[in-house]
Formats: sequence, C-alpha cells, structure tokens
Amino acid sequence: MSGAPARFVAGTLCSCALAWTAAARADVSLTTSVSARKVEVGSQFTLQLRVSTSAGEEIGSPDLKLPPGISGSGPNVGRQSQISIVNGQMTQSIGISATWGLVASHPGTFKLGPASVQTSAGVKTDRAVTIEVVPQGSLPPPPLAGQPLDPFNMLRGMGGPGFPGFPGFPGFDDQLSPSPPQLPELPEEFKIARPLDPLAFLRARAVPRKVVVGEQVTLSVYAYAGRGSFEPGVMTEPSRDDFLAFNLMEDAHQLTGYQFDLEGQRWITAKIAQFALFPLKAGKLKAGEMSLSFVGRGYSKDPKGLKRSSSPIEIDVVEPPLAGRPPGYHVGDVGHYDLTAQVEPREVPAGGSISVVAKLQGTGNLPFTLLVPERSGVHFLEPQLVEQVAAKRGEVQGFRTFTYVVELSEPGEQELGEITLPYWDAKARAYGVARAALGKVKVTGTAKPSAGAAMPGTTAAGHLRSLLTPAPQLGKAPAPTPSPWPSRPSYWLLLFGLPLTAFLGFALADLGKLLSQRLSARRGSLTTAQEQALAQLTAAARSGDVAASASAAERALFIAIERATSLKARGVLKTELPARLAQAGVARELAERVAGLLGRCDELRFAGEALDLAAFSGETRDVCQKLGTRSARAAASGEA
Amino acid sequence: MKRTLAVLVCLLLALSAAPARAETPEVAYAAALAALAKGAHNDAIDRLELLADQGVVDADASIARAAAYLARADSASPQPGDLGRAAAALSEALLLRPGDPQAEPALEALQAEIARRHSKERDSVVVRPRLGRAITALLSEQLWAILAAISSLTVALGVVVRRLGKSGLLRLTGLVAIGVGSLLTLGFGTGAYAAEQLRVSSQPAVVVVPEARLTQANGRPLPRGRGADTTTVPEGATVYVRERRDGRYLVEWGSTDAWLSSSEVRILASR
Repeated sequence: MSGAPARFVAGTLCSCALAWTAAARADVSLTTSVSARKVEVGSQFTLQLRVSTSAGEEIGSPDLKLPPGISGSGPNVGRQSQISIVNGQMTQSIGISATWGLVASHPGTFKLGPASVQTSAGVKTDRAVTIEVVPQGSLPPPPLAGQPLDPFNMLRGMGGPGFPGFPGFPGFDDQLSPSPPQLPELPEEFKIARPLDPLAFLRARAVPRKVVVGEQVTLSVYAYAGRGSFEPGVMTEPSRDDFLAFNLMEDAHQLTGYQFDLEGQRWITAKIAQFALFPLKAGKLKAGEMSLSFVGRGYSKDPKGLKRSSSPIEIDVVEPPLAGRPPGYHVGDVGHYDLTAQVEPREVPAGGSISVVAKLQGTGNLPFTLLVPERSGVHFLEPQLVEQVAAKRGEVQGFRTFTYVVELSEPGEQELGEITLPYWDAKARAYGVARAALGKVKVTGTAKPSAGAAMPGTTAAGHLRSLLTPAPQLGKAPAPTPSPWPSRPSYWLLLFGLPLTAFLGFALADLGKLLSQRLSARRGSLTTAQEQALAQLTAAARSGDVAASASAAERALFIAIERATSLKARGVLKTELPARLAQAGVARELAERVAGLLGRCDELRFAGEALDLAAFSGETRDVCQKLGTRSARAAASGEA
Repeated sequence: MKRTLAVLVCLLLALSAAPARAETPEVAYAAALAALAKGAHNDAIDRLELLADQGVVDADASIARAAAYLARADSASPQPGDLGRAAAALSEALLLRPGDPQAEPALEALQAEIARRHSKERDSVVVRPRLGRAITALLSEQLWAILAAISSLTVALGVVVRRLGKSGLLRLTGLVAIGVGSLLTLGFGTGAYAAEQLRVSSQPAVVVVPEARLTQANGRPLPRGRGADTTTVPEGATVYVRERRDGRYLVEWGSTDAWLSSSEVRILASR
C-alpha cells in the first residue's frame, strides 16, 4: 500500500511479508516527503518515507529522528509492489511507505530526520527535511468541505462533540442553532440508501460489475462514521486476488471527507482506497474486502478501536467474444490504443540492423507485446521497453515504447510491413487493430551466409517439417460422429436383454405347457368322478334307495357345475345358485333346472318316497350332460 | 482544402485503428497456409490457434498447426514448447482421423526428436500407462461394444439351438455357445464399459512446455523417489486430465495422479 491509505496503516508487516526469491544485490531507494513545509504550532502534519528495492531484499522497521519540539506517532507502514517487464525480463520491485504523524510544540525551524530503514545490506538513510513552524493562527484556514483531511486526524472536528470542527461545519453541539448552514452536496458515489451499521461501516463499490478479461474495474472503498470524529486504527488493503491493480490514490496526499445526514443521524464519510483493477482471468472474481478500525470515544473503549470490514464484491469476468476476434489477439489486451512507429536508418548494408521504435499509447492496461511483421531476411530482436503508465482521472493510460533492433540480411528494397496490436475496445464493444506501417528499407551489398543452417538441432526439426504437407484447403465439416454404442442405454438393454429374452421366452413357454397339462388332468378327473356319481345314481334308483339316489344325484350335479363353470356350488346357498350360474354363463333355464334338481334332492332325502326315482335319475343325467356340453364348448373356446 | 484534410485524418484514423473483420474458417485456413508459405510462422500459428479457439475441430487444421509449430521450432526464433505444441496438434489429428498417413509417422519422429533433445539434459523415463487403461486401449470403444453385442447374440442363438435342437450334437453345440458366449459377453462388455468410463471421466492432453513438474493438491512438488525422475513430465508426453480446479488439472501420468498447471498442457479436441 502506498499513498494516502498507506498513511493510515498501523502495525508492522515488513519482516514477515517481504521475502523475495531473487538474491541479487540490493538496490534500495528512499524518498522523504512532508505534507506541509510550513505548519502551525499544535496542528498535525505528516512525514512519509518511501522505500523501494528492485531485488530480493528484506526491509526492516523504519526509524525517524525527531528534534526537540516535535513529537510524533507512528510509523504506519504500508507495502507496495510493482512488476515491470523490460526486454522480456520480468523485474519485481517492492517497497514500503512509512508515515509518521507529527505535531510541533513551539515555533521555529526544525530539521526532521533523516528517516532511515534497516535492510539486509545495512541501514539506509535518506536526507533530512526542514520545516517551518509558525504560531497558531498564522496560516490561512483550510478550505470548506469536500476539504482535504489530515489522515492522522481524519475527519476530526467534522461535527463531533468536543472537537473544534471545520469552519463552516456545525458540531453536534451546534445542531440546535436556529439556522444551521447548508451542507455541501454529497457526491453520488458516496450516497447510500441506509446505513449498514449504526456506528460505523465500510462500503466497497466496483464499477462496472461485468467486464471482460483485461478491462478496468474501478474499486473504491468508503468509510462511514456515525459517531463523530475518529482516528483510523489498523487498516488492511482491499482484497484483489486475480487482478492487476493500480493504486488510484497513490498521489493523493490528503483525503476528501464529507458529512451528510441520514435517518436523523449525521455521518462522516471519506473514500479511503481506490484501485483500478484489471482482471487476469475469467470467472466470478471477488475483490474489495477491507478492514479498518475506528478509534475514538464514540466507537470503542478498546484502544485498538472498532473494527469494521467491507463485504467483498463479486465481479463477473468473461472473455471477449470469439466472433470477429482478429488473429494474434491476446486475451487481456483491452483498451483503446494508437500505434506509431519510426524507422531509422532507411538504408543499411546487408547483415546490418536498423532501429524501429514503436510507440503504443492509449487507455487501458497497455500490453507488453506487439505483433511484428515476419519477412524473409528481416529479423526483429526482442524489444526494449520504456513506459509511462499511470492513472489519470480514474483511468489507467499512458504510453509504452518498444525499441526493436531489426536485422536485415537480404539485399534489395525490403518492405517491412506493419506492426500491429489487436485489442478489444470495451467502450465500442468491438475488436480493433492498432497499426503502424514501417515502410521500405534499402538493403545494400550482398547477402551473407545464413547462420541458421549451422544451428544445432535444427536439421531434425526441418526433417519433421518436411513430413507434413498441410492440405491445401480446409475440408468440409464432417458429419457429427454418432456417440459410441456404450454411451447409449439401449445398447446395454439389448446386450443383456437378448439372451435373457431367449432364455425367459423358452422358460415361459415350458411353464405354460405344464400348466395346461395340469389343467387338462384336473378336468379329466372331474369327468370320471361325474360318471361314477351318475352310475351310482342309476344303481340307487334301480334299487329304490332314495337317500343314496339323492346323494349321488347331488354329487353328480355339483361335479357337473364345477366342470362347466369352475364354481364350487356346495358353498353357495341354493336360493342364490341360479343367479350365480347365470353369472357364470349358464343359460337361465338350465340354471333353474339345476337348482330345482338340487332342491328335489333335499326333498328326496327327507320325504321322497313319492318321487319317481327313474325319472329323477334320467333328468339328472340329462342336466349333467347339458352342463357337460357347455363345459366342452367353454374348453374349446378357451383353447382356441 | 479543409475537406481534403478531413479525409486524410479519417484515413489515418482508419489505418491506425481499423476495426477487425470476421473471417470464415476456410479463408482463415487459407491465410494461415499463405503465411506459413512465406515464413510468417507466428502469423500462421495465431490464425490456426484462433481457428481452434473458434471451435473448428478438423484433422487438416490440426496438421497445419503442427506444421506451423515445427516451422517455428526450426526457425531462427523458436519458442519453448513449440515441439510439444506440434505433438499436441498431431495427437489431436490422430484422434480425429485415426491412422492418418502423415500424422502417425510425423508424431513418432517428433517424439523421437524431443527425446533426443531432452536426453542431453536428463535420463529418459519410460512411463507405462495403467494396466486397465492399457488393456482398454487395445481396442476402440466401438469395437469393444460390437464384440460384446456379437457375443450376446451368440448366447441367444445358443439358447434357441439348445431348446429346439433335435439331435444331441445340436443341443451340445447350443450349450457350448451359451457358455462361451456368456464369458465373451462379460469380457467384451466390461471392456466397452471401461472404455466408455475412461472416455467420459478423462480427456487426453499433451504437455506443451519443455518440462512440467507434477505437484500435489496443495501445490507442493511431488516428492521424488528413488531411481528415474517420475515427478516431471517431458514435453510432448500424453497425460489424461481427470479434474479441473482453479487453473490446474489433475492428470494421470502412468500410474501417478498429480496436478499440473493448465498452461502446461493442451487438452486435445474431439468431436
């Protein structure tokens, strides 16, 4: 962290955070600055020491020597890191910014420092800074609201009881004054519908929320305090994994605070962090989780203060569309760029080289590579980069120059072609290509033998290349290949179903046959029993045995009924029998006769001498035959 | 005069930031071949890679891409991983058109060349695939399925012959068909199922960096055991991607399951 937010950071993080892989010699630079060269007695001002190193280096705790008459607090230490790529080499530089809050107790000229810092190469010291301290009231008052704020006295006095208050702003004690002055207009970005917390809270805001990879998202974090003045305690940086970040408040020496009324409460707010984020990949990426401790009487008795965190914001990142994408486009190259190029000299001997300086400028995270033309006899070496990329008016912009050394080996007038950069223009929602034509160069002399032929390992690759002859035209798109059989459920059903069906089919057929045989056998046994019963009836009738005739006739009739209808009639009331037989398909008249005969059997058994047994026997046989005929018809129709 | 000046300014603007126009795959392919022919390897690669990104899955395009990478590898400004990317393109072509007469020998020669170059730096490691994958790879998924279906039909016919056969020989034949067919159905069916599962649960990919170091799930390098180094995968080697998470792939390389960065491998396209 650097810039204004860094001045709030409490706690030390140097010893644990700054472990870097490179072990090169340390190149440490120090810069000391003060918020004001002329201050009043009793008013706070800040001194900031910035330390940066370009190699792997540990930076220890910074120190500041203060003269008598100057007292201070801090330092608050923030960390910063930077990555630059020059000539294809990536360089990491890290640093810290340490900020002290200072107060002068009497007028005079004071020499502050020098500030120093412990590094692995020893103690590094910067220059001392001289300030002038004047009596209170000697300097003009600070501007009105939307005014810059001293970060170590942040928002103090903006309406809090017991604090002096900025000129033009009422304190809470003044709220009952008859005509309170009008508050200045709160900028739109600070406005909220309702407080997220009655005491204090942080709010993160990202604009826009849906971007493509490489498109700028502006992340801002605002502090809102509802209990008057406070001092910031420990503050962390906003989370921003998966993003390349530019600190938009790096050069902000003072914060701008506002106060406003909401739901009957006076609030103080200030933007405490702002970053330009460039997403490095697609997906739902989160950023903006940040914490700050509000230290003050109205917030917490804990000296560490009241800790509040902002909720992370989810940013939807997608890749630019594939449709219309120009060849050579690298995902992440987003912005709006112009490209110019200068070529010098325009005449060179064969084997010599020229300089091509391409300047890429525009808005967005400027790419590190350009597409250079490929021509036979023209060889672009890796470029040297010079850049000036910074945020202006909330937008990252600047220029980057690519200085190429171009070797020319073939004599003649060489058309160099053009350098290009395909990019996605997020505002226009379209691809664009920045181009710079290089023109012609005259190559004099004769060609020198190519060094490439002697390069080791190239012969085999050349041999491989000769094995491949690409088709002259792209063939027609083949019909979509049907999915392999195993991915279809029907295949598995068929695979195991086919033998199972054959097996089960035969098994079921055998079972049916068996059942049929058993049924036939059962039917056969009933016929025999019926014939036996009728023979017994005939014999009993001939001998005049009434009871035996009745029993035999009843048995023969029941068997005949079972044969014809499968109805076991012994369990049926004789009064219901005709209806049941009719339901079973026996003709009504025949059913009545059957029921009548069974009734006569009962009469015979109890008082039957008056009956003609021969006629009774004949009628019984006739009914049984008729039932038997029906039984045969039913069996025949069932088999059919 | 003002009008002329305005026209000139417009022309300059149009030249400096011309909007890109979409190309058909055929035009882009022809332009890539033209670039390749005149030695503009980067341009050819960019065009062919864009074709692949746009979803053009074609064996000819893959072969052309391999040729472009090989051409750049052979040029004065080769890039690390060119041979691996060429191997990936050739593997892709073979996946799309098995037995391609150009791609097959070219891939073999390329892998030999990669092994030759790497043999200067370290011992070559022969990593065999898992037994299950090796057996499954003996036949194609469809062939496993067809053989299983034929075996199943044999069982069904055996049942019919066994049931309806009048002579003892016929009935014995049916019995044998049922037994053998059942075993083959089980074997080929298992092969078909395994091939289908491997296809669904993993994707072939090729290492496109000079050397890819295998890591554990927590990002730490895989501990190196005794003998040959099996914790790094050489350029052009085929691995099987089984899972993707946070820009990393869980890959199967030989009998090892470990993680690689997604930028180190290229997943082969398939229809």
